[in-house]
Amino acid sequence: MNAEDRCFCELAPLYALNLLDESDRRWVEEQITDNPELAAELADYQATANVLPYAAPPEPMAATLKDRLLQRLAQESTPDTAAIAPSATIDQFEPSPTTPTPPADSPTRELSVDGQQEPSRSRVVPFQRRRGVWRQAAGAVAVLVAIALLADNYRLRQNAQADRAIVATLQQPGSVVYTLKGTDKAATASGSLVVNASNQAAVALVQNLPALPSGKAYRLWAVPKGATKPTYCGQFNNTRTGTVRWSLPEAVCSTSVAQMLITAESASDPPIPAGPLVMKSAS
Amino acid sequence: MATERPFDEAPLLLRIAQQDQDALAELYDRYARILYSVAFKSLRSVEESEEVVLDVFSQVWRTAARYDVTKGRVDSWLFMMTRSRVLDRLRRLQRTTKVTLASENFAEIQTPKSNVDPIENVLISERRAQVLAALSQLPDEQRQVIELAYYGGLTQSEIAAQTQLSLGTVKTRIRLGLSKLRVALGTWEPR
Repeated sequence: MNAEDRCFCELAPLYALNLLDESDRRWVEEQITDNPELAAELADYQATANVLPYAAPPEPMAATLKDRLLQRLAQESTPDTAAIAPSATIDQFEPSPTTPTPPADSPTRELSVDGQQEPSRSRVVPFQRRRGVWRQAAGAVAVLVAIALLADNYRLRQNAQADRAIVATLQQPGSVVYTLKGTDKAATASGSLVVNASNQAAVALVQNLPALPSGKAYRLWAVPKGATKPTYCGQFNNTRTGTVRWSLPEAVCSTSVAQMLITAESASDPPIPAGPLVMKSAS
Repeated sequence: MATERPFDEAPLLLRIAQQDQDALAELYDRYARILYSVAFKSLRSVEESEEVVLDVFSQVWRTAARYDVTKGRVDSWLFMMTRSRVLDRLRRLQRTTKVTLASENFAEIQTPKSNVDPIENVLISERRAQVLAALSQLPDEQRQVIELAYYGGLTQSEIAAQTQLSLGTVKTRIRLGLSKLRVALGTWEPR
């Protein structure tokens, strides 16, 4: 649907029911940005859709579910659980069931976002069975060392690609650079964010920020000085290289603002920050 | 249409933000079954629906401190989180629930008394009755497409294909139905 065919009165109810594609959804969001009446109309439709659950036929529910909830909360608050793996710090989401597939020109490895190597399934350095426990142990060590070296090489090449993307954006006039740090939800995460007004683009280079499962996304928010609410600046999921580039939806996103925030959200939710704050720029 | 008592759950949320588990339990007692019923209507799985409920209340526990109770109703927040998770699971599971939803018997919506749970919170019961009464004012065809959209997680095209209607007709019925529902429900949130 092109802009000429769009009518807010038609799209607002569809927006409220999450039936619009990305293009129409953005169009609706653009219309309400500076128009309080339209924003109120959309809010009414959303409020209407939000009461539909009251009409759902009541279903019998296990009485033990509350106990399971309390057990889950107790487990999530256990410090050791959070220290096991980076993904546990954003524990509202299930770990991604699929590990990222490496590019065709690299050894068959599985690497998480921060380049930590996964258990060996390499075809490049075969594990040779030898007689005796010690010979087997030595062989296993040799394999692991070889994999570590190859993983380092892979990581270095990916980092080089990431660096080139950042350099290209930095070289554009009007680029603004933010240093990102993880919150308590992603304590070991760190990175940089570069935004550019000329091409309305953003490049984020992050480390130790887990890739989210399908349907989830990280969202960037700009908080200009004196602003009462953050401005949505796009969403992304993390990649193997830790570098991601996207187009910015709002002009303010490419300016120098008081702070940039990154939350973890459902990718289909309205542009309202509701998920946990995982990273923020130095204010 | 009676004016809704605003923000009844706001004090609960403030207590939850201070890690008060009794408050979370109270919110759970009030809404868990609704969230479960919504999830089950879409997912048709006890296990999946239970996980949705656990996910939503876990998130409430973690993010209550950041929720601005003056900006929106708590029940809307719960329902949005629930629907988001349900849609995620529907997409992931790629089940045929979409097909079975089309044959839903809407008679249960037209007979609110059969859905009354004597143990249910009085306020929740009032809200349920209001919504059912408002829905009963919609023609069946408008209610059907709204349900397919909300519970089935179907796209406009998928709804059109399933109902063998044109895309334009689907859009029109959704727009008219939701508009009528909006009028029938009157003012839900104080301005």
